[in-house]
Amino acid sequence: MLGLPLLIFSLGIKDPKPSTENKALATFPNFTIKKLDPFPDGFDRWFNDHFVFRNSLVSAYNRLFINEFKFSPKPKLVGLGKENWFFLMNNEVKNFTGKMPLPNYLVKRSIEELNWRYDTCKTLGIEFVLVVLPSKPTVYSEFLPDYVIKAKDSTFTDKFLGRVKPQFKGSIIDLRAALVEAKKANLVFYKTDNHWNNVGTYAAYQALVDSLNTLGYSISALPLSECRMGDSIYPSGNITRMIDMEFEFTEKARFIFPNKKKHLIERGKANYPCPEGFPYCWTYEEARQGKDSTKPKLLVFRESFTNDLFMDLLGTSFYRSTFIFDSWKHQLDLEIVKKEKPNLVLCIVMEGFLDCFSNYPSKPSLNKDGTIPQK
Amino acid sequence: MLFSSLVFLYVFLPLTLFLVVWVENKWRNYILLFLSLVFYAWGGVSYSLVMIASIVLNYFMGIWVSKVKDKENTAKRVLGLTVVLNLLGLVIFKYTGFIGENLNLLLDGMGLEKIQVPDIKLPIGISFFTFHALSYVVDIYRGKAEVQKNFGKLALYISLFPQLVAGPIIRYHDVADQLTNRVMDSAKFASGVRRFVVGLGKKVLLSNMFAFPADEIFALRPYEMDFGVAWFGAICYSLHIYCDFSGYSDMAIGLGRMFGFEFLENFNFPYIAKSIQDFWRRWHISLSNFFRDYVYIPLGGNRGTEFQTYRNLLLVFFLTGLWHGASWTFIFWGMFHGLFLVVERFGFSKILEKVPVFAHCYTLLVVVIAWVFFRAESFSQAGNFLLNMLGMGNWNQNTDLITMFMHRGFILALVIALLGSTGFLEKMARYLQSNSEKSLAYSVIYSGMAVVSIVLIIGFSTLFLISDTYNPFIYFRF
Repeated sequence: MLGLPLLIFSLGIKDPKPSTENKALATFPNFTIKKLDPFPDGFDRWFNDHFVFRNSLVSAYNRLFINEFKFSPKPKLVGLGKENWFFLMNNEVKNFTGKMPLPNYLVKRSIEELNWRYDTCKTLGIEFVLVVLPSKPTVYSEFLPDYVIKAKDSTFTDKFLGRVKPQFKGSIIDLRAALVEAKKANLVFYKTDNHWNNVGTYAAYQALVDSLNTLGYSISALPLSECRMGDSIYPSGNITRMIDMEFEFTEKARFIFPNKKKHLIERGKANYPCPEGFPYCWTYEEARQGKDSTKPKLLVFRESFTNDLFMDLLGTSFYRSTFIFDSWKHQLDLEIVKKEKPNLVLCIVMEGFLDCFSNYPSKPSLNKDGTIPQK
Repeated sequence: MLFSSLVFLYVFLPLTLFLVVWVENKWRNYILLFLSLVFYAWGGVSYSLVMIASIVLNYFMGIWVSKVKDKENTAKRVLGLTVVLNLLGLVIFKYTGFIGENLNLLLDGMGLEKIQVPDIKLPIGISFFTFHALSYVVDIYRGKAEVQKNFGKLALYISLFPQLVAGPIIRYHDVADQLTNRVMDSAKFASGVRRFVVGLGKKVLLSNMFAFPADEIFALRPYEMDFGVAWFGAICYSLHIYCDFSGYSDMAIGLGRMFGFEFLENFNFPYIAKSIQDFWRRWHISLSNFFRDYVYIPLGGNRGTEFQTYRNLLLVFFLTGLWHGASWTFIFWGMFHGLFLVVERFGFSKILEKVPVFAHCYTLLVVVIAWVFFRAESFSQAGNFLLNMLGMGNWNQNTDLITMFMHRGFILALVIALLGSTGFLEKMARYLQSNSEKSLAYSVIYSGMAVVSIVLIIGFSTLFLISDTYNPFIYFRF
């Protein structure tokens, strides 16, 4: 029995099931007498990655846990909550439980970075606004596994905003309350995905437009009556796909399709160079154009929550909208800002990534003419 | 390399078994020695030099001790030197960080400048092979074993892979003869396979099932748990550590049998012990034996005054704690056990003998509470955890949290672990085995069940092990 895998491997029989991992399988390590230390580890990785029928065996394991034990097969990665609600057990949960650290330097650097972005945009005559999106645990905490316990005092987001907001020169739009309110009427997140569904997307869009109006932008949200809606089966979210249960937990979901022909014009992309290593270059840059040239121009540094629907909807509320998805780095790309010359820059961050602003080194302010100061 | 790794199970073990069975008897030790060195080098090729140095050192020290055995004072000095040199290696590799940290605390308290503590990596299994080596030289000194002039055989004793990285700690005099004269037969081999597979199941299927709730509960903040949750976490950890460690020992003993060795038992249902003294006769028996033979008895054992006996006991348990890890929480864990041993010796054992049910409860209580110190990363974490266990924390029972962990797989593992740790399953297996010798029908049933169990345990263990190597992709939805 123990020799069987080696035999099957040597016969070259392949696993019919494709891999669903986010890594290239390990290659066979170099064997050199001069440098032996890395070989065993490399061999282990290679052997594990190429174990016969590995994908099928992993799938069987996942099915055993989900179908028979009703428990997550990867509990530190995927949480199976109540009523088959799935959660990513990453920073979204750590933020919610208050276990994401918030040291003083993180707060200080975040304030510096955000104020630098605000000042830099201001120098160029542009408004910079930070938009905070809720994560699934914040909106649907009641479905979390019971071993995920909400922070007693406040979540990371509460603490972060509580300390950053008073010292940030610009505005912060926090969409958490809007989504919590919206869920009273409809389901706003997918059960099997960590993202919001189309209804949640629309609710977030509407709340964002309302908030921007209070900041003095005279824009309007595209009414739902201008959208086609239909109920369909959502086959699988990213979380269930992670544990290879792609079609096991289908759910009914409402899909929203704005009347793009009526409200948007085709606009070509500027083809900004995609950062090296970014796996989704085809969507690094997205462009939308509304029909009313009197409306402001928008530049968004986005992430996965700013989906096609969100971009289409925002596109109808502005004249020119450009969306940059920079691989969850949430940077302010000054070159793009200068080329786009928008009226408004939105930095949209899901709350699980709020600690990102301390990752960047301090930068000097721009010269008054908008040029970058010489060292 | 770990026994519970795919490379060991599906490459190293089949190749080793094939080679050892295939070659002539006279080559078996050489094959085993070579493969043991490969096994060890798999965990860090450079660190193999530390073990090889230990083998060479003790080979010559053994010869030296045997040569001066008749001159008592000289022999004592040589033995002393051997002990110091062996322990020096252990201290350097295992305790430098701990000593440095404590020294810095002291220096800081005295307002002096701290010292730079070097970051030394711990060679895998150093605590075990150091003790094996010590046992060899001490046994020669005591005349319990003859000096081993064949370097290969001594090297095989110290590095024999089944017991190399996690024990059991084999005393030289227990296996000296087996290094030369041992029998590999099919009955012993089959028994070794069964034992190994049982250990694999304990380690991979049971232990890991308890590890998740234990880890999650020990990671909770004090106010997030309550009386029930804290006890649930402590019990999960108690089962986790038992299944993990005894499973590994079972695998080692089983592997030993496959190659013709007979190692002494390392666990004997410790959770049915009736006192802490009884517990230590059942838990990590090889370590208890080692400390008894090489520390407690040389210190005078219980032959001196009552005070000296208590001192010896506490010293042994101080060392037991320290041996488990370079941290004060481990030392406290050892001393905690030592303290209860002293209390039992003081007369409490007589009460325990009279009320067996109370004795069981008392022993389990002490053991489970002690595990909290063993598992906790600091005294404050252990203290807060214990406050909850004592009902001095929250009382709002968070039963949902416990039920969340109690999935079908967990319950199945819990039932098997509880039945297994009380000896029920072993008794049942023995009953079936003894009946199988009497009737053909029983024999068929028993053999069939044994084969099916082995196949199922290996199959499910493979599923569990392979899932650990899987790194799923967080899909991005467009």
